[in-house]
Amino acid sequence: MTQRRNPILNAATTLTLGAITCLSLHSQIPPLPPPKQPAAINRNLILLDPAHGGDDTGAQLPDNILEKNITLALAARIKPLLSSAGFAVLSTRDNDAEIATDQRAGIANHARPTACLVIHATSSGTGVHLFTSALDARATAPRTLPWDTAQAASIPQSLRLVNEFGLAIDRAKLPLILSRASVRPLDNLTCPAVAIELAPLANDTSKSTPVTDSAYQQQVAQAIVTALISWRTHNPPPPPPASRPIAPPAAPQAAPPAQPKATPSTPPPPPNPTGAAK
Amino acid sequence: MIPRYQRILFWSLTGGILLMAAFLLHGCQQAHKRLTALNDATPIAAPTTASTEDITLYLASDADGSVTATRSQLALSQDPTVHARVLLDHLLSQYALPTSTHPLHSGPAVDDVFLLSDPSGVKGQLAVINLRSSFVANHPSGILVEELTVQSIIGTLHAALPQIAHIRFLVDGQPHDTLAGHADLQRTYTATDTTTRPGPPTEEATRQ
Repeated sequence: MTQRRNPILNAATTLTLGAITCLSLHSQIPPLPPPKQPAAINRNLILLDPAHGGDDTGAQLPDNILEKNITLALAARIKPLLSSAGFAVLSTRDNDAEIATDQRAGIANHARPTACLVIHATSSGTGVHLFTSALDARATAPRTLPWDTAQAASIPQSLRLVNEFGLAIDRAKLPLILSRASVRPLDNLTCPAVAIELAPLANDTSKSTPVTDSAYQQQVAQAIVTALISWRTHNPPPPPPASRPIAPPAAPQAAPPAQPKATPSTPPPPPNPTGAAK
Repeated sequence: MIPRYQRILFWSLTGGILLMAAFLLHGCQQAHKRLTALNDATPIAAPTTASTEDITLYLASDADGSVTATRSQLALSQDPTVHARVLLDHLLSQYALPTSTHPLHSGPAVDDVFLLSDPSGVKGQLAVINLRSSFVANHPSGILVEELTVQSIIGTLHAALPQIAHIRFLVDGQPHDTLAGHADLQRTYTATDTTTRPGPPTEEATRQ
């Protein structure tokens, strides 16, 4: 009898001890972290995308000038101006490399900049042409963004951004056309995105100013930077996420709000030198 | 004193030279006529049996980026596909005129227009416009100029054939990435009224 009960007692003791150990360990395990939030938008990061490059020369402009070279030159003028205004700049290309439009969109969507600027040049029309995506605006961002219509959720911000560009270019007394277009990679970007197309500047005199004119390019670059400074001023960072419900109930409001990951590493916005923004 | 046989030989050779020159000149003229006939870029003639009808052309302007509806008259076939092709060829030939506000190269532009029942099940037809590669190769390159061409085509087709719900583009029967490096030809466009008149930027729009 005793011999039969011993194994049962041993097993019961082992199970009891195991259950007690599991319960004690479980109380020490930290709770699972909440589902990962998408990375925060970097308020000081601007993406420049000089279109074309490599074998993709873009438009053939007068005097055998290639569009790919003009876009790169304009990006090179914008970049130092943005840096001096306290922006970090990410460029999809800094040399004559051919990069697929999907790859450009991938770079931009991964970096999550506050604004994306796709740069083009043409010999048709006059002045500066600004475009936002022709996609219909989507009210709320779905959990999964279809690649071909990724920009749809950002259309309202893009329209506000293009308006900022329009105001700055208008103040610079440059001819301007605001429109919408179906151009890659504009439709694939998740950031507020604008395509800017530089066209020759029609003058009262017979000869128009070409897109290669350095003074013209500098004027446009300055207007773009002014617009982006105004954009940053008009777009305060989103409110911090609410305190987690596991916080002690005694002082739930006392904890400092969590900051987005990218913000502390970036410098604070400098004072607006243009006075364009409030 | 030149011998007689040498004079005869000289004049015979001179005559031969003149005859050969005249023959060559005639040959050149004939060849020129043949080449000119091959390069005739005038749009195809309207069917003589068709009656003239009112059409609406959506004409683009590069100067202000606008697309405006303009009434016109054209003899068109009753067959919808021929109707659409002739209409688009007529529209694009307007841009080859010297007074055009959206200048494009002359020459045939549209090979075919196919009207299909929409495979997505949406009410309305899908129009597939097969552009000629010569038109695409000679089209000016730029976002505005290409987008205006596309919007002009869409608006004109929508006004003439309201049963069309969506429009796609091919070039020489094959899918093509862009019109001339910018406007997306891979996507399906919705057939709508594309009248456009870009407005100025406003302070209010920035604060919305």
